[in-house]
Amino acid sequence: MFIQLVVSGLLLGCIYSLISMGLSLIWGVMGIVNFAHGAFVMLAMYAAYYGDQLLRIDPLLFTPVAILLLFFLGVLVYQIIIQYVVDGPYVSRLLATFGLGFFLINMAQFLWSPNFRTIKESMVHGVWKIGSVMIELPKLASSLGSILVAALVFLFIRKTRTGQAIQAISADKMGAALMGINLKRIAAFSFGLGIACAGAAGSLLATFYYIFPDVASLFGLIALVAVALGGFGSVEGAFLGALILGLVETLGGYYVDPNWKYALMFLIYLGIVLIRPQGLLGRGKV
Amino acid sequence: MNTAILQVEDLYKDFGGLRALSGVSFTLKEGEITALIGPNGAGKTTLFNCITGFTPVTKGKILYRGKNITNWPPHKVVRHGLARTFQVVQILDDMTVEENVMVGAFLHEKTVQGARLLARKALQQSGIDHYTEHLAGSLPIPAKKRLEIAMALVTKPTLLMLDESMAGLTPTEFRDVQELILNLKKEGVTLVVVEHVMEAIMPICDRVLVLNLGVLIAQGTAKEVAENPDVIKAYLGDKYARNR
Amino acid sequence: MMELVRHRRFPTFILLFGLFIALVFPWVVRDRFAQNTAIFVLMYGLMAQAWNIMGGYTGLISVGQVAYFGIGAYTSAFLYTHFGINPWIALLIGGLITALFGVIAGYPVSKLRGRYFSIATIAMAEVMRISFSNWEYVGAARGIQLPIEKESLLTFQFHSSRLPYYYIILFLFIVVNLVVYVLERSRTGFYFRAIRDNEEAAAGLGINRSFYKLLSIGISAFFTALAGSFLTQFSLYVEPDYVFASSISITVAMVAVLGGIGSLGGPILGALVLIPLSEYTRAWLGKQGQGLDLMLYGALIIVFCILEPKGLMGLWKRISTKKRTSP
Ligand SMILES: Nc1ncnc2c1ncn2[C@@H]1O[C@H](COP(=O)(O)OP(=O)(O)O)[C@@H](O)[C@H]1O
Ligand SMILES: [Mg+2]
Repeated sequence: MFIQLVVSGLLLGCIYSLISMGLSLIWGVMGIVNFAHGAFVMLAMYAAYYGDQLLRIDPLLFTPVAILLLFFLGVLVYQIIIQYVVDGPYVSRLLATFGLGFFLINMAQFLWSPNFRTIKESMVHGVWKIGSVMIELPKLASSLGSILVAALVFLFIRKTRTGQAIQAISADKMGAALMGINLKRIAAFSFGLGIACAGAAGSLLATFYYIFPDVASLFGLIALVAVALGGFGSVEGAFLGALILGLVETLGGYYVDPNWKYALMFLIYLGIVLIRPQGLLGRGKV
Repeated sequence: MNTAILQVEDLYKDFGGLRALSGVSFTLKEGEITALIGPNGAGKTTLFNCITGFTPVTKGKILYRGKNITNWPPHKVVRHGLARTFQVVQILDDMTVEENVMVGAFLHEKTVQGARLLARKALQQSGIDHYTEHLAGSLPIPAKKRLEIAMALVTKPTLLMLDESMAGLTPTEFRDVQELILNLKKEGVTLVVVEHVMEAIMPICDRVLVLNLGVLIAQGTAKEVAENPDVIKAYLGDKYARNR
Repeated sequence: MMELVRHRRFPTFILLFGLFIALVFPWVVRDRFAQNTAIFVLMYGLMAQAWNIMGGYTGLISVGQVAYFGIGAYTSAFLYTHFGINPWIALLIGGLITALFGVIAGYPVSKLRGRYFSIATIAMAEVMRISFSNWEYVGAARGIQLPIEKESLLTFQFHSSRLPYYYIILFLFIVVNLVVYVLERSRTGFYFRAIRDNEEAAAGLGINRSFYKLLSIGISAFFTALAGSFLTQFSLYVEPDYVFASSISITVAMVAVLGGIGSLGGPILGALVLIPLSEYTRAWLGKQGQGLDLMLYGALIIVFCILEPKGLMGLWKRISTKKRTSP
């Protein structure tokens, strides 16, 4: 059973990683903690749902579309909101993204009602048995998808010119500006990319997770906690944080109580930052 | 005049793998001005941080008037009469200059009125009373440095540690600070001054400590230190020392 | 007119005038909805001022104030239904227990700064919501229902009129404002602001950071809990999803930020503007579409953060100083 739980925990953790990676990327480039991140996951889940209902496209195959949609949505949001608050005081940055999340969640309530929806059956379904370990294939497919997308984003950041500009800005804003990097354009692009990560995760999650407006709060908080747990500014940290949360969720859900699993995840986070305020792999001052 | 006010015994400070201070030992005598010099990265600021509790000590002991103050929290150190300034100015940007100093004054005066009076006096003493109502964050750098000195003074220190308070000042400005330091000495305050501008500090100090790569390589009068081959080597490189 | 605005005593004048209006309001405006809205203005004003103590003065930006609110609400409901403790005493005990909780839970969290602190406050609030949702002893997801009692000041129940509720919350609201007024002019207030501006400098000036941060959290938690207890008595039930709703945390922070943080007037102004706005849009749109009113509310928050990040008090300062300098 233990191995079973560890496997499902890691699978879940991979999807959380992808969401957190987007959050971490946005933080690195523009110093904004996107408290609306979960709302974009939720929007992508609805997009995938309607892709399945209306166009008969499976959420797994819909993922590239979701990535594109959410990328442009992200750029749009940057243009009309984020660029105007990015230099403001901390509280207004914080509340602007909170307000955005609030707006999107309630828009979903208004448009699609608060009811739960699910996708009937994704093209990958069933269970794969290896010895006593049972792997639910939809979860496996989503996790592999997440890893693939995360790897592509990672490669993009390492190998392309735009990606290097993103790295340069994350490391040193002033320096990057002096090197002639157009900060606004890269910031808009990075925000889009970060939201696209959330979008990919949303579409992949839609294959097996309940779809409802308030799912945004849950995934948003998990991503925030994963990044804070791993340490802001460290992509590896965000991954580690997300994997830990995934493991705690499945192990805690089984050995403690499924109702308490989220409380347990957040308590463990609070316990860890008690000892390491800057997060597991975070550097320097908090 | 000759009692020891601060004793540092075999002090070590490691940052991860980096040893910033290595077996530093010295004693400060009451009422003296001590210059702490050394090339960039020698560990001068780190030494200040260790003494004032801003960074935990790895090994060693710090005694203040015979009392072991090693790893005391900063606020407790200040309350015992040991104040400092920072190399990178640390002031309260969104409060007025007067309010900045008042915060320190509350150490001795519980009432706002009383603290204000103390603050005014300290501002006059450090020569920035014309900025009283300005927001601290809006001041030019030299004024910020003076404000920081005023903030340290108002806590009525018996030992005052200044970290590069004269860096970036014009000659007239640093002469004012020199004068201030000498006046404080007259009032019986013991001072440790970190400074890069040698001509600013050498004429007024009683003793010099030289740090290099975390090691205290020399101590003595300004003249003794200037002739010490290790010091010349640390500052000017190997070749120069041998040629002499 | 301008002479008046510029007068040194103008703020005092405004304050007394406002107090007068507040005292006669429910006698002049008899509409039940308006009276309820006024009660919410005061309740959120109370919480926003409490938030201001932590966030505005000490710089601890919390987006999980609902943790204190909910614990206060639950404690007083629980003490009342299980031990028959008088609601007034339960209110006070609720405040004290919550302050204690704030200090204990705040001890590790207060070592965090900026975004790390904010995220920890949300996580904490969420842990509380989940805990109370699953804790059988306090009714789990069903919450606690308060019995209906005879109407009297002693039982804290009034069925024939909203007026007593109004005056009770007005009283609590005035108390928190007095506390902040005194704080602003005291050593403690200076210490709070010093910690907000620069922790290192504050420590260098002899301030015990942990102590004053926890003091600020404790005071803030106490008053936020009073608002929670008040809501318990006002609505006669508590339920985890109701008293631990994250939207309460956001609204509280928003009221303070909208008004302008770090000043006494900010949260008052913020509550006066934001709460009626959201209550009336809810009434106006609420029936037609679930969520539409809150959507507008979210949009409003965004617009405000873009246009006036320093809050209404900042706007006011700009206007009044402009007038002063122009001939
Ligand atoms: N917080 C820190 N973390 C890691 N290394 C540090 C830290 N502070 C100082 N150092 C290192 O310690 C050494 C001494 O630095 P410092 O005390 O600032 O020197 P100085 O003030 O003499 O110029 C340097 O090598 C510096 O890089
Ligand atoms: Mg230095």
